Amino acid sequence: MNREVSDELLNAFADNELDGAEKAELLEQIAADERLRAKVCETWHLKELVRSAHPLVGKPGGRRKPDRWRMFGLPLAACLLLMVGAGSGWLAHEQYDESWIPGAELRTIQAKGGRVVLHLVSGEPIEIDKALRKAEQLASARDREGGILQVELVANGTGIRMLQSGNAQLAARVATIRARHHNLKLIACNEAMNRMRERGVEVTLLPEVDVVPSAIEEIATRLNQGWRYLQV
Amino acid sequence: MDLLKFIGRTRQFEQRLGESRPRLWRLAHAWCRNRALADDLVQDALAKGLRNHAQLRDEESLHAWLCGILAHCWHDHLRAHRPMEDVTEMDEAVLVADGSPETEYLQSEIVRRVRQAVAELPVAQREVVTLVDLEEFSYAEVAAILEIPIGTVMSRLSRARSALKERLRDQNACGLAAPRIARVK
Repeated sequence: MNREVSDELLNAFADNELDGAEKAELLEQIAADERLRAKVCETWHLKELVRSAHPLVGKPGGRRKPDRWRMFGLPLAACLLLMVGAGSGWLAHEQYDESWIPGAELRTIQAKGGRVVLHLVSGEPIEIDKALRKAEQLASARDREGGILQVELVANGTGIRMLQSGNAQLAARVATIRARHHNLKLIACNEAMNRMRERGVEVTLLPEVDVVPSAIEEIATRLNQGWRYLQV
Repeated sequence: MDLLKFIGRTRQFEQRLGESRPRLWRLAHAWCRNRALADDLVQDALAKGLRNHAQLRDEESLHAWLCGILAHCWHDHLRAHRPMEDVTEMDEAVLVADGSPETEYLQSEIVRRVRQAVAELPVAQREVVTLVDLEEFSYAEVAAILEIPIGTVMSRLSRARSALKERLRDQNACGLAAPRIARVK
């Protein structure tokens, strides 16, 4: 059922204020309407611009460089996802705030082939932590026949930070998880890395990481193959 | 023993107040665009928070509670003075250079324009958009902090974002031009 979508409602969607049913209904409309998708993307981008233009300083009067990837990369990645999602009908996923995948979702994954692609777009430490926890949880789970799940953790936008060398503690954690779970694949988006390099950011990935040309294409491919999609 | 517990709790509370300070300052500065005033508002809000600790019902919502106090301090200031629009004070936009001069210039210019656009919003819209986008409060939390209905939060936010998009799109420098994001019919 199509209804007029107000700016207030689109804002509520962009701010993750809608509940499951409302969100699902609006997602259907957004998926079918390029104009609405553009509006949501613009709002996401605006939110990141506002946030990046007002960085948190350690103490009043201090200076800090705004996070340029947050400013450009993340909202753009989210917008691209929205575009791809609209085309392939996989947008009706839930976004979980907790660092643990709810039982119902896990049961759905187990019942539907046990293959799941987990997507990280944020480089915030708390989001990286959530992504790794969820990946471990999924990689440790079993499907209905007792087989292990196939899990891909795909990072783009600032989420690439999770897979970069340079943070010894994070690198050790990633290496441990990867060594423990051979059914978990860590994937970095080459497009995102190129964008980082264009901005003068040096990108060196951890040895456990695979690179795909585009995170969006990888996710779309997996979805077409029947994988379940979850965004961190 | 009770006295020791009380002192311990007070110290812990003071520490948590201190942890909120940078976020409160960022918010105050986004509202008033004046460093000295932002310092004063935050100081005032923290002092009131410390004095009225007993009124805090849920320790988990300490930051939202402090933001509410800060909003009161800010509104008191607005009532007592003409709104200060010291939007010339944009010195934080001068960034640490680590890229090409062109990139650095573009970055600092975008930051300056976004801040300017936020600063030019009417006060009520500026408060809502900063509480939602900087502090990531839910609409219900913003409504409680500013003591306004949720519907008002939504309409102010909508107007604020429309105005920001309009201004930044006009300047065509912040990636809000339609082709960068999506093709718009």
